[in-house]
Amino acid sequence: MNIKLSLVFILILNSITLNAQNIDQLEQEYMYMQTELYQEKQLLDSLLEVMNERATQIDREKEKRVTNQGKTVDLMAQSVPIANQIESQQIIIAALEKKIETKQQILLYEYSEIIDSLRRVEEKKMSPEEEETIEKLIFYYTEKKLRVSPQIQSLSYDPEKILQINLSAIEDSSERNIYEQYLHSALKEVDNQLQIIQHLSLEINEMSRLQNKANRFLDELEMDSRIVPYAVVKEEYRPEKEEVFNNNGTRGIPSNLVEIDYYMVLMRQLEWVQPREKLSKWQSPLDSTQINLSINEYQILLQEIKQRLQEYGSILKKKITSNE
Amino acid sequence: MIPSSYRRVFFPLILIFSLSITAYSQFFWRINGEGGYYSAQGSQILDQGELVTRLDTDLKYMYEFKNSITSFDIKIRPELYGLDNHLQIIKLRGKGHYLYKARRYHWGIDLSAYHYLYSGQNLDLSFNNLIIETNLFWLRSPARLIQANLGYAFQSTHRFGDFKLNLLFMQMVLYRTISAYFRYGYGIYLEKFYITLKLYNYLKYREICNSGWRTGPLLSLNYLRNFIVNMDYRFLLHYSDYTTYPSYEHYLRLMIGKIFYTRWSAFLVVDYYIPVFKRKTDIIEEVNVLYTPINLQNRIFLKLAYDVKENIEVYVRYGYFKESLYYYNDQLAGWSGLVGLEIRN
Repeated sequence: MNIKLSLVFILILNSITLNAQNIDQLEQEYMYMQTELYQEKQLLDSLLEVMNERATQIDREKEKRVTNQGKTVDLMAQSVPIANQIESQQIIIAALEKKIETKQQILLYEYSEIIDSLRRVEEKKMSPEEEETIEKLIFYYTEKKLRVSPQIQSLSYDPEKILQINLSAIEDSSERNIYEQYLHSALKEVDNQLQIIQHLSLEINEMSRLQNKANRFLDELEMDSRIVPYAVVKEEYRPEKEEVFNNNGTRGIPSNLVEIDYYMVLMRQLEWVQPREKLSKWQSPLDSTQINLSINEYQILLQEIKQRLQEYGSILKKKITSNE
Repeated sequence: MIPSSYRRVFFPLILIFSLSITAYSQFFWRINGEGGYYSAQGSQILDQGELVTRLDTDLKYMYEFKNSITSFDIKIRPELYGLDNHLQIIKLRGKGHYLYKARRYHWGIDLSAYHYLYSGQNLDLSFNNLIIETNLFWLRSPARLIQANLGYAFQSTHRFGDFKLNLLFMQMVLYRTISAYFRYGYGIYLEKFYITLKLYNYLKYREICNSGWRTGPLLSLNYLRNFIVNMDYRFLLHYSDYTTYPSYEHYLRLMIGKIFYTRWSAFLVVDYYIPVFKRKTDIIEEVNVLYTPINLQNRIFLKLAYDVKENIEVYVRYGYFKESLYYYNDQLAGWSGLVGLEIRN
């Protein structure tokens, strides 16, 4: 019996290995396509740069008091093939992106097939070592599957996507474990964010109290106060700021208050937690296009984020515990 | 009974302010009472030492609509120095303020009106001040803020005659942010002033005029985190019909404050104003029409406060004050120690 089972196990594993060889090839093609896409995009960027230079040159010629019509026409004529090249390059890129998407779908299908086969093997009686091997393989391919699934990598940064996860609806235990881990890391991230917000709120409250007391003291003395209001200034938003998370998903306490953009983005991410009409309360004093905020406005923003994070955290906890 | 013409104007306005969905309005009020002892120094107006009491009431209405804030503020402050040979002072202030907040700049206009009334055995004087000022805060980059002010001020004083001061001023300061908590600013102040003094003496009428410029650099340091430090300094060169070079003024304001043990706070304010006016020798006048600044005192005060509740504060304040009232001849000066209570909503 045992010999029979072992033989089945070896046969299935062999077929999986053969299938995996096919997947290896698919993965290589997928990687190659991505490299190709990167190179084509770089080529497009350089073409756009040349085109911009030409446009600047033409503008400069036009601005001259004595316009050299011949030169302007020459420059415009020279720009035509570049424009054509840009157009064809954009077509190449679009086609390549479509190919990559198809390849992703094939890979997704192949990974799902392997996982299903492994599940079927798992149902049979096996030695603990064999079971462990199968478990490891399932985990290995599930991870690969999640990597080619759209948006999965940014789970911890996208509350809406995370909260769409319904652990009890996932039948595959390995997949469920992975999603559960994602939920745990999201919760950890929320807790860390809350700590930072609480720290900042305390600091801002203290600053606000000090500023108000100072103004009142001056008002007491001379019927007037002349302290220039202290504003918290935000930088223009840069997407790479999202990368300030450490490997463990935590985020260092900001060294200064010029972090408003980050909190605005966080706020927008958390917007869905409450119905839209309730947002008007914080949106009216805090126009997202406003660059400098008063300390009071910054206080309001932090309080709102704190509340949203708390709500988000409680939903995450509920999701995790409902699975236990 | 409110006159019907007022009702026609104000009631619809109140209704609009109250019902607007996107608008946000709020009333603020504050009452501050303090009493203590003063010891007069070099002043003929005050007795050597007596009791002093002061009541300060402030009512403010603020209205926010989209990106703009409008506020109105009324303040009444009666003060009483001494009991027997007493000096009564009543200070009234009305303020209107409008601020528009855009992406990179804030623009505002302020209107302030003051009426000060001094009444005692050795002094009978009244001041009227009016200041109209526009402000522009322009955020050039996260680290650079430009503040520009342009305004007009009027002061009239009534004692032996009518003293009138008209002035136009402008100020530009560039604030540079070193860190999120510390910034410094530097800029320039320019003022053109006109003084008219009308004297009525034994049926004889005289009018004396003076005009001139005040200009110079200004410097500002601001730190705000777990303690506050604010320092403003101005050095102004003074040119007028009655003064000669070099005439100048120094003005320094320093404020330091800290909150400790959650409910306790300590603040120190130093205002130091020294005019050095060199008078022209070829002008022979029994009355010199010299510049008297608006709302300016020399003082040093230390305040120690305790927050009984979020909106109730008790405090003690001790310090020196010197208020020049009329050509530096009449001065309220001395040391005072006060205990106060403040309640606000």
